[in-house]
Amino acid sequence: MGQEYGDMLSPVKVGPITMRNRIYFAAHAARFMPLNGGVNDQAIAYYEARAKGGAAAIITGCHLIGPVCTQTPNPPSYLGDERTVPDLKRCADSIHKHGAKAICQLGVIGRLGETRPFGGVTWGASPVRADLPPMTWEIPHEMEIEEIKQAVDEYRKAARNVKAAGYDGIEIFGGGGLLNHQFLSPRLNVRKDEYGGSLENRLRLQFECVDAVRDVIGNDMVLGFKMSGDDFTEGGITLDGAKEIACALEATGKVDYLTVVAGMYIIIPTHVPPMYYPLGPFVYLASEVRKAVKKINVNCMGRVSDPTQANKIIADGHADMIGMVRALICDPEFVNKARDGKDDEIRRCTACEEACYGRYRRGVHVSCAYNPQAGREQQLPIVPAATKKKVMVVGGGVAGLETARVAALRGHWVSLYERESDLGGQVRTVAKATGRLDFEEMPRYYADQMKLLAVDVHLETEVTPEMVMEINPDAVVVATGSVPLELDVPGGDQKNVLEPRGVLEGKAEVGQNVVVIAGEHNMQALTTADTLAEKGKKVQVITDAFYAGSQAPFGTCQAVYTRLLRAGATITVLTAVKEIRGNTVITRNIFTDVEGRIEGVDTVVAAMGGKAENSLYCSLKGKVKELYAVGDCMQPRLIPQATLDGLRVGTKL
Amino acid sequence: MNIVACVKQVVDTEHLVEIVGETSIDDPDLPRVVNTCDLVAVEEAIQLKEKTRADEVIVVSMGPPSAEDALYRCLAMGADRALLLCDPAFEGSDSHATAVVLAKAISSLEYGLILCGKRSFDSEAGQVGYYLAEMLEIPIISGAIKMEVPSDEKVIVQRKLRGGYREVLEASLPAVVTVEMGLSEPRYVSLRAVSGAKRREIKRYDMKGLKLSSEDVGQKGSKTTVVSLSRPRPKRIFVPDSHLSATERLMQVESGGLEEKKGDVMSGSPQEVASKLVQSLISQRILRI
Repeated sequence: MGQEYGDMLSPVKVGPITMRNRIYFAAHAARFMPLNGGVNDQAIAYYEARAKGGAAAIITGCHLIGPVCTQTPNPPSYLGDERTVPDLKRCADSIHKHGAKAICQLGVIGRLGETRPFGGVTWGASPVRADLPPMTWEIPHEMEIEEIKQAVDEYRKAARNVKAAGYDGIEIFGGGGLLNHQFLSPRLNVRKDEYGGSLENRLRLQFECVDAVRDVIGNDMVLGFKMSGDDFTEGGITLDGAKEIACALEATGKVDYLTVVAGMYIIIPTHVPPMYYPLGPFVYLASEVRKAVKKINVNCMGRVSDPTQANKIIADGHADMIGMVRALICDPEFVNKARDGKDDEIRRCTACEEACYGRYRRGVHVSCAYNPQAGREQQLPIVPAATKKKVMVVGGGVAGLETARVAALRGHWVSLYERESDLGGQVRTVAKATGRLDFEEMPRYYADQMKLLAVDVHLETEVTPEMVMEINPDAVVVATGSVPLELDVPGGDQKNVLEPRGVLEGKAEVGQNVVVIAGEHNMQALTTADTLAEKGKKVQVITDAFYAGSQAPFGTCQAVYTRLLRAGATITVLTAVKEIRGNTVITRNIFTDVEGRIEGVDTVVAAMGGKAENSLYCSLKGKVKELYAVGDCMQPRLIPQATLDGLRVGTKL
Repeated sequence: MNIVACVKQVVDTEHLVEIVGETSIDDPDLPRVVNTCDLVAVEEAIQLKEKTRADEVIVVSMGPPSAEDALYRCLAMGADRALLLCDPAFEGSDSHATAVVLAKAISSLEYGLILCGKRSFDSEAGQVGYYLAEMLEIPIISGAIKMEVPSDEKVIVQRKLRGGYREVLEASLPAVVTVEMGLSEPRYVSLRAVSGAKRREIKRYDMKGLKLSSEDVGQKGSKTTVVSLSRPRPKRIFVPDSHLSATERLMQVESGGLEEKKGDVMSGSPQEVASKLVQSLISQRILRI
């Protein structure tokens, strides 16, 4: 056993059950089912992979209960409906099969719901506008007493079904801006009746839910409560308030554990800390609450992605257990690898949010930029190849690396060629931007994997079609990436117009007054602007969209905006570049065509995205037995699409 | 001469222990091991036997039936006999009540030296050895880091004092010696040796067999009671003040609580700045003229 992580791997009692270690897969909206009601096969495979990987418990959900979910009757995904029991039972069984505990998180969505797509009514403690991006901006209906009773009844009904399905416990979601949180927050709950005002009144709904669930599940099942330790809203719950809430919940004698998280759902960087935040930024909340309560278990969450970090949190007594979401999405085998002394083989979550939260916001199931198999456990399993082939991968960016890794895992003989002296491609460049150092983790992991899997890596080797013919592999995978797309306006070819990759690599001289053109709508322009602003440059970002980085994950975008604005950068929207004339940038409003001029510009950084570098691919077409293009070489896109290409081709070879 | 080694089975403190009930860390679900300090005592006894300084090594333990496992391990190490003092009435005994039971059992044996671990890793009281010596009316030397038994008449013990000083004491036998962790390295025993030891007999004595009454043992026979037990305070961690605004709190969290260093900015002409700088250096006693 990895004694190094003895604290993290030690068992712990939680109410009536014993957990095999301190790490669990915490609940999150994985979006396998519409509105995250019940579970389906894809979700079960996703949870099962994490149970198999050594997590002590899997908390499924958040399963939304309450009227908003009754809108999706087929398949039944509303946990109050008895028809969800067989699926839930299969889910619990598949978690138990691997020795993990199954806990079900329940929550009522309240004012986070949306009437636009679903009709109906959103409930809230009080008619306080759901403000702050990316919220719905709706003003909810103030719940009537009967509706509060109905919400409590939803808990009771769902708890009955969860118990029947053989789960080990239930967690009430009292954080994340959901209904219970809305009642707890003095900012969102301004009711004048017995459910609002004093702490005692704001706790009333919580107690009623706790009583209802405990009544149903008895004393053999665990009951947990997840709460916000500081929701970082003005007039909301602060740590001092959270301690009182925690003590009150402990005093009921009916709650076995508390999980303390930060923020409200609506202020995403606090709830899901992006790469710009330090590791474990909110562990202190759990630590302080754990000091305030008498003996109830207190768990922490939020950007814990390294076994050394996790072990220290437990050893230093900050928490009893650690809830991980992204770390286990990224590497389902996190715990097993740490236990078996294979910590170097752990894919550590970089907190890039590209495919987890980024996909979630688009209404599709979560995955991972780094582990494209996440959420696709069933569709894209890595199984031994029927016939072993000689596979040649050209290009050592993440698309090529993932292809090589998967192909080698399946037993193919893989060789990989990279023009530069290091592996990683554009990801290595991105890691040079301010606050994006965690991206170095990806080339680190892949380089290790290439060695472990005995992939024959050739660095500083430019591949020509003749070389391929001579080597004569069974399959060729071209992953030659992309080149920066030029700014196609008059003056776009001036010497003071730079592309962001060269700027981040430090290959180009940048003047004091900089205009960054955010033409690719992801993170490239923003991170380049941030890097330059940090160096003391005067930075103006212009974009032709409603906001710069409109396609980027919201939490990351919000964090980098905060940095840019603090550094005095400006961001001008709905503005395209018309011409660059010497030190003047001539712009036009995309709706009105009104011209603008930015004078005294030393350097223009044009972040326009990429252009596929596919010349090798084109010249090999029809000349080799099996030919694929992956990553930017196929179409310039982002990291998740590149690695997914790699996984897809790797599993197909 | 026979040597008696007293051993205790404890919760494996390699695992994180939690408080059970109000006053115990004795979690029945956690694995149990022989108190490491006591293993040193057993090892030392066996080594003395190997050096033919002792005839028989007898291990004694007071504990629940599961403490058998601890004794089997000692037998596997090379002990000759094992005694388990086991009775529901013994539950809840403090150091004093435990010593009463041990003393009663040991007094019926022939012994020249009694070895105990200096302290147990669960309750860390470190008192049993002293009580035992008092009850058996024999001398005690605590905290041995080196030990020698030149004859059946005496024991010579080195003890650690503060600041690196060492003290050598001598006592006539029979005597009690409590041992420190570093005295010797308990030998490795294979799983096979332990299962082999399980075929050997462990002699059991209950309260009746030891001719004790319920007044002498358990909670009734104890001189102390545990009033409360609290878990260790977490290590210090940066916590922003709840009274700051949400944005300020978040800024502090983002920076990990580190504040930017603020310096004094001096402005003026080069001459003025130079003289201000010199004045400042003098006033901070960095520069002396």
